[in-house]
Amino acid sequence: MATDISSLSFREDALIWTELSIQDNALLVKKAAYDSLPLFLNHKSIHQEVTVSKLAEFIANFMGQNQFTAQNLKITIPGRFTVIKKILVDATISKEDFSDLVSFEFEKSWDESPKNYSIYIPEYSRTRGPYKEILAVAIRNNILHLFDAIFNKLDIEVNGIAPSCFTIDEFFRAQVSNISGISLLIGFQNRGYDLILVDSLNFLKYSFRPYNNNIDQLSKIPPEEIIGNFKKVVTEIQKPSKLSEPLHDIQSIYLYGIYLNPVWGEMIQSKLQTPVQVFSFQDSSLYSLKQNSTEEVRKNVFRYIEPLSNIF
Amino acid sequence: MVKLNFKTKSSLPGKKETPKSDKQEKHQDTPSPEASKRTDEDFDISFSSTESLFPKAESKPEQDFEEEPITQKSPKQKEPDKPVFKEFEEEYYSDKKSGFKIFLVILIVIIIAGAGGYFGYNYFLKDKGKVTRKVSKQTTTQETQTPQVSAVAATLKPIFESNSGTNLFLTKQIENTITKKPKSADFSLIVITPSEMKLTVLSDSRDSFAQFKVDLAKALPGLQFKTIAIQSKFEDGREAIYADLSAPLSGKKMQTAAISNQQLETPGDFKSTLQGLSQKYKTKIQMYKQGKNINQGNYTQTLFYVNLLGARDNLLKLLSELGQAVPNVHYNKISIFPYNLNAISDNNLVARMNLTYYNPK
Repeated sequence: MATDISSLSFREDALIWTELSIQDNALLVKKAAYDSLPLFLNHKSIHQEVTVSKLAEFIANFMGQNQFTAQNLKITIPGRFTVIKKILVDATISKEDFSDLVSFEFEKSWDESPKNYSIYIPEYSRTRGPYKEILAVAIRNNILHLFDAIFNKLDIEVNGIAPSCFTIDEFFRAQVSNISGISLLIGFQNRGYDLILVDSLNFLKYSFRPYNNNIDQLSKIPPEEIIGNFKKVVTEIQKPSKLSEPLHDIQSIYLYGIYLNPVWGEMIQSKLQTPVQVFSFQDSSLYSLKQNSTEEVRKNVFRYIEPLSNIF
Repeated sequence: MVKLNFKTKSSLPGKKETPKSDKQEKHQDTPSPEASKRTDEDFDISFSSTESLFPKAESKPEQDFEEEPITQKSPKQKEPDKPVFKEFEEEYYSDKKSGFKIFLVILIVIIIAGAGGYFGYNYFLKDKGKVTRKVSKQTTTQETQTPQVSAVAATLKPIFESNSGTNLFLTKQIENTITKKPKSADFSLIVITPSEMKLTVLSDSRDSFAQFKVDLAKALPGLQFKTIAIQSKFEDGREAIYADLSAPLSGKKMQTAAISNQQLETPGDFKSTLQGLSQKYKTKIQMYKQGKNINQGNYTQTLFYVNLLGARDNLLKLLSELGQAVPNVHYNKISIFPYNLNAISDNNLVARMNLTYYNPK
């Protein structure tokens, strides 16, 4: 029996929507579309009442134009809407003590009251030598309230909200069956890169890096500058300047994102020793894309990785 | 896989109101400075009142004795005297100053004066002497009692001395081990207890590790390390050798500074001491948990589990000062490991302490 999913991904300034059906690990993407948001989602705008009404009106129009149903709606939000921390603990520390440690770690990095945040500790298993790593994610309650308010206004039920860095990590594992070493997944967004580091075991790290110091939009930056910065970013991730030895040995790089120009893949490859490829469905992957999927997705899967990744 | 859905409840329950700190609670339990001042004043008044009240007691009979015939009725005990005076006056004026009567009057006056003097001496001057003696006697008693060691101090003195010696020994061992580490490999974990020291060594090959063991024996000749486990792991595509070494530490004692009676008798507050030291050495208290509290009659033993994060040297200084300046502390186990790195370096380290705090009641 097929499972229908409406998968919506928010970016700071855009939204990407796919309507798909999954049966026997085959994905049928019925509809796909993306558009720019009428406002930029940031710390200031999420506090403004007008944001809810503007976004609700925009989504209602977007759904009408593209005939989306919002059935079994799942949402992803950018990883940088959250605070993701990995906390290293002595393996002898019991699980009951994790919450105290996590609260303590987060509270030190916040300027405002801890009551304004919700903290999640997802199941995560990674050891480093004799230590255990805990993964913890915090999100401002205001952000969750914003999405609740928008979809309450639209009278649409939301089944899940997750940071895209984790859904993409999971989707990548399903797509690339024989992951060896460390892979860097790079999402080209309007003003910077989403950088997701994964290895054969699990999620490793997420960060966001602007294209340049002015945080300019991609359209205002020459491609040479983007390619040049790209090499610098990858080098910095592998070997942070403070360390004398490399921290990670990246074996492969995958590119995705609605702002990605696939031509850049070859340009980037010419500058790097590491294999670079555009993220798409592979022959060996767990999931396959049905041929009768919408042509836009078949041609440009890399643009829809975020909503497609939220199918689990 | 990392599964996360913000539509579900957060893993950590809603933040509770910040509990009142021990410091605040202490303020509530102990009297305020004003209250303690008041108590001190009360004590002073009760003590000095014997001196201040004494002249009043002395003067009062004199007043009564002098004024009574003129202004007011004499107190009951003086009433028998009054008829004497009255009788004397009547007889004196009625019998026209007879010489015998004059002599009699003088004799009576002398007797009364003598009786008054005797009375005054017995009741006032003699008492004053007694009180003075009493006060000086009390002072002497107090002076002799102060140097005596209380029961709790006598019990805790050997414990505190032992704590201080053990703590000094353990912190010196950690310091030596870190500062004298050979360059052929790195430590990723140091665990020390009063009976044993364990090291987890990280090296890039078995040859490097073998060389490290030789170098370590030269650098720390007092410790006989044995390899108890060795395993290789691939991290970030490179081979790493993790080896566990162990050395016995029994029978090591160190001389420490004298412990004052005040330290032995005054209950301490471990949390505020730790917070103070943590602030002084710019370390972060990652975890603070109070464990079992064992009642031992006139003192208590409380277990604490603490994680401190800080720069290497600051952390070592803190461990040393806590173990020495606070002999209530007995280190049961100290683990040192790097924060977010594989090997111990000058960067941030974490010290996980399992300790017992001895506190007089």
